[in-house]
Amino acid sequence: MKALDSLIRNEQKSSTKWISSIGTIIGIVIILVSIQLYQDFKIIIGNESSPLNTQNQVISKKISQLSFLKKEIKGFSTVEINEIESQNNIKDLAYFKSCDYQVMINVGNQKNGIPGFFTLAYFESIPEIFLENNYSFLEWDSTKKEIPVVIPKNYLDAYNYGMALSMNTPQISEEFLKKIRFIIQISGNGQKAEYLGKVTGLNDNLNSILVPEKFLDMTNRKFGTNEKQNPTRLIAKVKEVDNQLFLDFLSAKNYTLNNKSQKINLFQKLLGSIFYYQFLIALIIILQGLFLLLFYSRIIIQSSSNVLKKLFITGYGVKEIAKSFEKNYLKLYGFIFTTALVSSCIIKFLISKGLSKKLNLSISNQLSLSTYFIWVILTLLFILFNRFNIKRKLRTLLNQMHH
Amino acid sequence: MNLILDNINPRTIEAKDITNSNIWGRNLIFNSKKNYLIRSVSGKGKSTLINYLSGLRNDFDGQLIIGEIKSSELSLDNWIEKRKTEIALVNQDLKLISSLSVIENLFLKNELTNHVNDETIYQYLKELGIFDLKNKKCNQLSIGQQQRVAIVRSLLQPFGWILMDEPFSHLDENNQIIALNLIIKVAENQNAGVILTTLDTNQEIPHFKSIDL
Repeated sequence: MKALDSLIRNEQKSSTKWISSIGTIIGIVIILVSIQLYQDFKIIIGNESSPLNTQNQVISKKISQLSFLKKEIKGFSTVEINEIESQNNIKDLAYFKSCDYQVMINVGNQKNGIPGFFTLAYFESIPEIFLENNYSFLEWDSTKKEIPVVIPKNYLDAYNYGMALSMNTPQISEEFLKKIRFIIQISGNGQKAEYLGKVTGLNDNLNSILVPEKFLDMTNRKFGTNEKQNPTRLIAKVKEVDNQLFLDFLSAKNYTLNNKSQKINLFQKLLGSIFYYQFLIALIIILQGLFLLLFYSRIIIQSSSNVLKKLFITGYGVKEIAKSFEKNYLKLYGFIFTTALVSSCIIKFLISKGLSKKLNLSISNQLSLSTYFIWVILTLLFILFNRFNIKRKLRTLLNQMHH
Repeated sequence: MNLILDNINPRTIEAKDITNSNIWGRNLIFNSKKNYLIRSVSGKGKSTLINYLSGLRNDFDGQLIIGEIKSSELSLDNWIEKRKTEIALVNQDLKLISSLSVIENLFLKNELTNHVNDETIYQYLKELGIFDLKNKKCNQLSIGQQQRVAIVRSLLQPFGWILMDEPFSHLDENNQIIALNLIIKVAENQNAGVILTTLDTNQEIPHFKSIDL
């Protein structure tokens, strides 16, 4: 119905339309980008190679003041380990094996110019699947002379920024550290042995000096007392790093997560809250835009009431007139939602590019399918709300005409 | 489709006018095979009657029966459908859309009913002498010209009745005859009845039954 469409179109010239359209576009862009970033964030923390990955979480028991007085070492019993393993959030669980003998490490000598020092140490091991890197652990067997060792990254930091200054010795880089060989002296069970050690990696997630499990088992058998002790730390692969039910379980049992996991969890909660409020604000903006557009269409219908009443008298029904209004609004909504989608795609592209460059994260440059899905839902909601609104207003007008 | 007025009394008309009326408070049948001329001075309810018969007002006591259906049983949507397919109407204030041209007003109606082709519309305009005005906005026309446009528009639909409220009030005698002939011709083609109202209480039209309101 060309004549009707043209008539309805001519009745709709207003700046209100453009103001409310721009508001709605901004709201939709914020909501789409927020949802997309939240999804990206979830992917980043779920990615095992990501620096934010905390899917490997270290669980230990809280140490109280009484522990010292009681001279107790808080370990996990088999029952407790089984209980943790039965939690839904757990994918894999293992415990830290400790050395049952004395370890001395002798680093440096006058010949190679490295400042020499001698320190007491300890070894632990965890199954290889929990390691973020291979660290040459898998390749080690008893025929190999050198023992691969992983030390906490903060050990190197403590040396470089503390010990090196106080002892007036040179600072050393991570690469240099990996080239140094040191002597491992093991004693226990009335026996002594020396091994050659090399640092194959630095870990900032696990506060432990790690060696291959096979080496630890072998040395424990030889130098250890072979007395079974409860493990003090567990390592778990979890399904969701921020699973509240699991966190509540740990808290109820007085268990703690390692520091980094706690910080990341806090960071996730903080970021989650930011996204939540951003989402809420975007929703308010969208609702405001929607109501402005609905209000605008009601104003148009009201201001065109004279023409519309003539149409009713001529034989035009609510259905035909509403259809013509909707046709006009479809064009407007088409413009609003296409602009919002294109803007969101551009913003997402720029953000992904920026994050990839600055944080060395690999994120897709495109919006995800679920974001497109939300866009479709929002579009349909707007169209349906508007259809309902127009029909309702036209019917009110028709009723007014007859009373 | 006969129109039956069963003791209809408008709530807005004074009691003395109702008592002296040949329509109000009476039992009357408008036979669709016949044409009627309703005559009265101002204020007696001519427009009210047309509005009742076209479903634009229902502030009356009594019963109005359209065909076999009581008007009280018709919804607003039913009335709109009737105005689209059964009851053609020329209101006294014409109800043309002033922002549209003559031809746009006519197309607006014909696109809804899809009743005649464009040639027929042009033919009607020519017969009533307003073809040259087809592209003029309705608010630029005289009342007489607008009346002729409204008459053409009322013919662009199927109908069993054509109701016209003082449609010739601003037309000279010659144009009245031309318009009336066109209306009668189209109505006869559709086996439809015509109801005309007029202020002239002495007017007579051949083949029209005159009723003084």
